[in-house]
Amino acid sequence: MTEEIAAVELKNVSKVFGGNKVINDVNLVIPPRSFVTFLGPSGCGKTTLLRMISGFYEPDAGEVYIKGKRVDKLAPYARNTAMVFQEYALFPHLSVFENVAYGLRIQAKDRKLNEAQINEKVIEALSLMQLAHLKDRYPHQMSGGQQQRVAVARALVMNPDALLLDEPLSNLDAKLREIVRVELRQIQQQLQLTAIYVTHDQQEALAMSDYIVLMNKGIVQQAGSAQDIYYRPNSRFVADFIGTTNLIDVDIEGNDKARYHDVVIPLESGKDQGRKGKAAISIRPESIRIAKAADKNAFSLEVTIKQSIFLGEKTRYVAEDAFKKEWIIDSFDPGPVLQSGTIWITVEPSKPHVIFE
Amino acid sequence: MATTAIQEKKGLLADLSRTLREPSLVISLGIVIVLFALFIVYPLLKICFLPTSETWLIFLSEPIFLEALRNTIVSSLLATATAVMLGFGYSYAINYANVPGKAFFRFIVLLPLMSPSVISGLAFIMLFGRNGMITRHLLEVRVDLYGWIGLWVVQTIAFFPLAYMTISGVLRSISPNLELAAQNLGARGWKLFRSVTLPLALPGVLSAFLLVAINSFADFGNPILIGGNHRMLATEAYKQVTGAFDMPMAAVLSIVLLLPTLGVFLVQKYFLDRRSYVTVTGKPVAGLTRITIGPVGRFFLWLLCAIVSCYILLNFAIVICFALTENFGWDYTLTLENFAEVFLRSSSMFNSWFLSLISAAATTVLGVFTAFLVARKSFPGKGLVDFVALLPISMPGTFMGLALILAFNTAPLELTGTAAIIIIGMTLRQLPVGYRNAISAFKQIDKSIEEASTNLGANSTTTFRKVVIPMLQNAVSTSLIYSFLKNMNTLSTVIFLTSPQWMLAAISILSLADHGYYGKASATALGMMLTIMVTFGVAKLFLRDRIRIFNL
Repeated sequence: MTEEIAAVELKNVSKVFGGNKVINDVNLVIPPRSFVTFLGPSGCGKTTLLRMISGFYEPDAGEVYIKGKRVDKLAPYARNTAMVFQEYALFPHLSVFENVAYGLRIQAKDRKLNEAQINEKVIEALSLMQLAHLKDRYPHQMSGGQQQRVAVARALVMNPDALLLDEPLSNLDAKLREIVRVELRQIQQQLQLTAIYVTHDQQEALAMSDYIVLMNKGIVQQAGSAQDIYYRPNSRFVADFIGTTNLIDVDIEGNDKARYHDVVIPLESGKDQGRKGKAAISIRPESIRIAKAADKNAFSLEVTIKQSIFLGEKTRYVAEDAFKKEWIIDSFDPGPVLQSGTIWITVEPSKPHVIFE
Repeated sequence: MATTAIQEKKGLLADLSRTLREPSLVISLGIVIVLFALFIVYPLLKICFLPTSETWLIFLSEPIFLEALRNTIVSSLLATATAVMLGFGYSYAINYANVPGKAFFRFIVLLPLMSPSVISGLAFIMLFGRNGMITRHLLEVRVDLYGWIGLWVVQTIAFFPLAYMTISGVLRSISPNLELAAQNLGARGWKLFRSVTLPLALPGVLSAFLLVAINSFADFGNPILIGGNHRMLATEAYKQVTGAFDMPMAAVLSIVLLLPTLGVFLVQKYFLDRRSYVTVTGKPVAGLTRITIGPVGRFFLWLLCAIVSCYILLNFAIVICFALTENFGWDYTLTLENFAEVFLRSSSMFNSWFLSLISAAATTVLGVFTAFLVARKSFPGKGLVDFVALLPISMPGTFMGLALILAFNTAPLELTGTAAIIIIGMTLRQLPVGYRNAISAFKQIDKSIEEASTNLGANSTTTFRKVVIPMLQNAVSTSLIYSFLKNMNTLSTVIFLTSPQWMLAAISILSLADHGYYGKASATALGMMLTIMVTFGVAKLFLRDRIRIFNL
């Protein structure tokens, strides 16, 4: 990705728990100052991977590098990573200030910090998280959202080589989650930190990340930018996991044509990757347009509306075609919501994405 | 017309009128109040008002008694300090340092909890006494370890399992995520221990300290067995009753014994309950063992566990040896004569078993019943009922026994010498445990579950039978098992209550050991453990999953 030394690099990393390979030969390069998300369903190995970077698990095979230095045999306390735990793990016997100061005090000698400097850094971190006025409180006197901020401040104050976040927003309510994720992203950019963020929430991943590492069953399914993952998934799993999509089994016939039963779906030149044969195409609901009648010059298909859901900015239709295939269609037309009947749908040749598997 | 504000119906009168509308509640409440007043409050008042100011003056001016007071305080503080340190080390080794053989160590520590409290004293005499196997036979030295040194050792071993249990509970409840977070921030080893683990465990260590302190302060069996000339309050009170027949002085000594435990009880009930650091954050982390200590530290912790376990095993080994031979040390002929004496020619074992069982059942019924009233009904004086139900936990056994014989030695309720007074003593002594278990069970059962049952058409008796009782199963079996165990093994509660017709096994150990019949004393102690195990085994056989025995 860049010529700079990677902030974190994993080489052929594997981890086995009780005979199960929960991480299977993972290779990753995480560029400095980037916000990377490990995304996947629960049990996919994303948290295990994070814990191997922080040192709580030792890989059974492979190597872990932080800033070019091999660390996979180093104890957690000897790596400069800072973790924000899912349940925050705040020290209940320490005040907010002392929680944040904890790591600095422990490492005061190595970092050559005196009391005044520690004080300054802690206040700085607390101010950044808008917590300065709460510094004398104890964790149990604070709301979940405030505790979460303390956990972030405690990690930030260490100026870590990698900030590791293990589903830190999962205990917050929906509204707060959206606010905090914007803040986290801003702070990461402001402080030029490398952040690795674990989540199972694809919305969160899309909203925050420079890069997304999508995992399934211990392997990396796809790694790339948010747009890459969203618009150019490399597998049915990825297409299905991220957002909502229509996956259609087709035959790629060459000449930029995909055949779906007796209907031809024209594709933009190059979309078929020069290959032929069985494939799936992914068409996002918002890429489909609704027409009143068939269009002889383009792909169009008649479908019957089964269900319509008004979602505010759009209306989502679930409809069925003549081959009993269900289509999900998003319409941004502010007109009346259609409850039933048949409609024609069309898709521009630039929209479908072809997945060979 | 002026609008009159509508007042919320609350306060004493409203409670009273609500209570009176429910006749079954009035009757149940009446039963509980009469029982409490008669068997807890009345004896308590009786013993407190028996001594006159003159008796108190004698106590304060007589050097013997002041010496007993000082000895009791010093001895119990010494034993508490070592027992808590040992308990902490043991529990840290097992829960944190992951020492090899921890399952074995965990089992060993339970043995003293399940055996008669005097067994460690008895074993100490046979090992280190004037004719002790180790002091006299092995080392051939003549030392006198009776007195404060012997008592220190014996009470440390007798009470450290209590400290271990309390501290273990707290250590286990500390979220491993907190230590991970500390390690992630650079802490390790001693720094990690001092900055996170120790402060979080401190409340547990403190409550272990209080618990052990009040137990060793009120301990009766060990001081009387190996106290020697070392005067202690509990044994002096006993001598006042049996030797000098000076009841008022015995009452004074017992009241002095009560004060610290009562103080701890009041502090815990009204101040400590609200404050604790128990952290319920974080799911358990798979594949992660807490290793927070280096190999050297781990070795020393292992050594500590090994030494303590060996000593406990040695205690049981010597008891078994004495029980199975003619006269261990001189005549090594194997014999079952001692056991025959205990089981066939004496009724004390049967008495212990029978009365313990009845009392355990009575404790459980009364505990659940009272807890139901307090947790689920509203009536005036609820706080008082709750207080009285928990009060016996603060009373040393000897205090309670003395109070009962003082209260019930004359007509119309002359109970001295009967089985009834033993049952009453045992039942009341364990009542707080049964009651507290039931209360916490009721608190865990959301009231809405009962409301759901009512809403689906069940009346309150059906709800109680079909919903409440099944959900209380754990509390009931814990109460039954725990009280049975305690009743079998208690010495202090029943020392004043037994009579020649109703002799109990724990007390016969004492008198047998006192007369030098160590073989028979040992056989009695083992016999009690055997009886307990067989009883549990039979209960398990018949009740199967309806009773849970070893996860108290």
